[in-house]
Amino acid sequence: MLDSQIEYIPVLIMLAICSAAIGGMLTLNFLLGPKRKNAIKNAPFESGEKQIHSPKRRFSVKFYLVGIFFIVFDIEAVFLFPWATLYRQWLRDPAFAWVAFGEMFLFLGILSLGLVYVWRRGALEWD
Amino acid sequence: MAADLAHLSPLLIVCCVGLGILLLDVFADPKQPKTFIGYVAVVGLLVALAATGWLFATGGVLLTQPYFAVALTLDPFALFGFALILVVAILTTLASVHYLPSQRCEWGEYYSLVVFASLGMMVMVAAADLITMFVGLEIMSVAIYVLAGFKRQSPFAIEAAMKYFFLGAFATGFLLYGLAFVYGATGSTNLNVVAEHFAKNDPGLYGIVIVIMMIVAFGFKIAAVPFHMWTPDVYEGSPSPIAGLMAGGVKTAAFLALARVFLTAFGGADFENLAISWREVFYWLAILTMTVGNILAVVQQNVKRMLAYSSISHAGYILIGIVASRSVDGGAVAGSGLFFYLLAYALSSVGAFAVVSMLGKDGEEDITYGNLAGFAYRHGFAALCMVIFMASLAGIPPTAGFLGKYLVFTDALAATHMNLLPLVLVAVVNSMIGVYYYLKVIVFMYMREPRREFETIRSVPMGIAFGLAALVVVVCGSFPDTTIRWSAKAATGNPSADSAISAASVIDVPAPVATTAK
Repeated sequence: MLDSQIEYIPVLIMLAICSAAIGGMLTLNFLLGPKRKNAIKNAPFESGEKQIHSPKRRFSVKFYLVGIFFIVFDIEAVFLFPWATLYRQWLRDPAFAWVAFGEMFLFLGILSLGLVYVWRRGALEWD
Repeated sequence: MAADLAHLSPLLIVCCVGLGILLLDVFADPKQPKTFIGYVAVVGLLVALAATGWLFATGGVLLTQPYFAVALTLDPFALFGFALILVVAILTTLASVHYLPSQRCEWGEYYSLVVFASLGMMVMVAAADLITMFVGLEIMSVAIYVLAGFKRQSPFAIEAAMKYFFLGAFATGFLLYGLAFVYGATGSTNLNVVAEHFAKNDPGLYGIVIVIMMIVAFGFKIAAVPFHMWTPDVYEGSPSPIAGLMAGGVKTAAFLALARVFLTAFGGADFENLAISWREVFYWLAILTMTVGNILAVVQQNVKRMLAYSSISHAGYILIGIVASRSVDGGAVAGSGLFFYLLAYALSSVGAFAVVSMLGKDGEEDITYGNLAGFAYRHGFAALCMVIFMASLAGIPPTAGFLGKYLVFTDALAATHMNLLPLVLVAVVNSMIGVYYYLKVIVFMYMREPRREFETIRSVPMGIAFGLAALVVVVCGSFPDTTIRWSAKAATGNPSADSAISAASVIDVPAPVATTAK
């Protein structure tokens, strides 16, 4: 076994503990929890709040588009964080520093082109 | 740095063309037809092709900066793939410009998706690292998923896109899982480093798991039996030019990536001695793929489905080339027949699908043999080109397909590491079965009276697309010297594989740190 593999063993242990804890809690709850079922208990809001309408309605497909854009630009941020963390380390090599800098801005540039496309295509307008 | 960027110009140009036409589309007058975007794409791809030709003439280049060298290799192998992919993309675009309006699905994004798909394919064949290859594969696949369902008013297109997406995602899962095992076994995803590691250490159980995962993943992409189920439905539902791009481009890229991964990273002797040797598996997959593909193609009534099954059987023939190839000095690919065959197959199938595109007007769900009846009397040139493509796919001289088969079979018979004579015999028998259904197309086009007036698309660029493809197929088949020389050059692999390894060890790859230990 490689050293690099041994370093991952804590992850496995963590995974096992988490699964055991969650599984245990759910099972115990299921087995031990008191259940007195009646119409009010089974309502979506147990506090007595009346439901306005059924959640099984159709949503506008436009929400989907907004969701996709959110993911796209959220991923951008996800990539920025590790880059920012490692950037100081990369600065030590002057030849690589500009590459590290340029690459991220190239990425951001391409993403902004995507934003321009989305805007011109009219996908940012609700109607 | 500047030299490296110049050497990466084919990829950079294709990327810029894709982004450029995406913006061109949204800034252009929306009422204007989108044809001109297609032409801009063709010009851009031609420039990239010229850059590829320049690099290929210099015999492959070595990327000097370590951060490029660990990710990409620009050996003649990759450059040959670039050229082939770019040609297929250009022909696809030319075949599409008048096809799209006739199908009422003319959106400018089509062309940028074709260009991005080509970019992904190019990254795949040039990848020196499994992660880079994966990124290329995803760029390609996502674009192709969308293109497969481009005729979104047609339920067949939706079916094609969904099937391709789900099975593609499934195959990608296998690839990633295999990749994780490669990393787990070797601590690296760089092909050369992986090869070096396996040269010193026994792959063992890891090796078996990796080989199985990788074969499943690539099996889906090259549509080898038993991973071929999606192919006919997807080719049938996709726009015909895109079916050509899938058959000619995607398959070429997948085969070249497969050859590079297996011959470079898993080419060591230890992998031959595993309980499951990938060469043995491909041997049996080739037999299955050729036979099942051919037999199912015989019974098809729809020409597009027939071409899909024919492309499955061709995957079997190409697999012979992979089995016959042997890595030399970690990375080189012996057996130039593979490259010649890929060229012949890619151009013949993209051309055949371009001719089929002519038949699509107002929905093309019904391209039966019957609709081809009398085609030659109304469209003499297109029918002649189709004859050439069918002859090439069947392996009849003087076309490139014949020579490709010949070269692959001689490679297989010359292979010393394995007795491939039974495989070649099966392939020869299969070629004869194939002649039946390819000839059927010709018989219907020339010898049957047209049943009814069937509308076709009359388009000059489409004619240029299949005309050019037919010309290349005939020229490569009749005067093969140059193409054979190119294939041999591509087969010599990376002239500087050793330098790539040293470049990989130079770059500071951060070791995985167990953060949970804190």
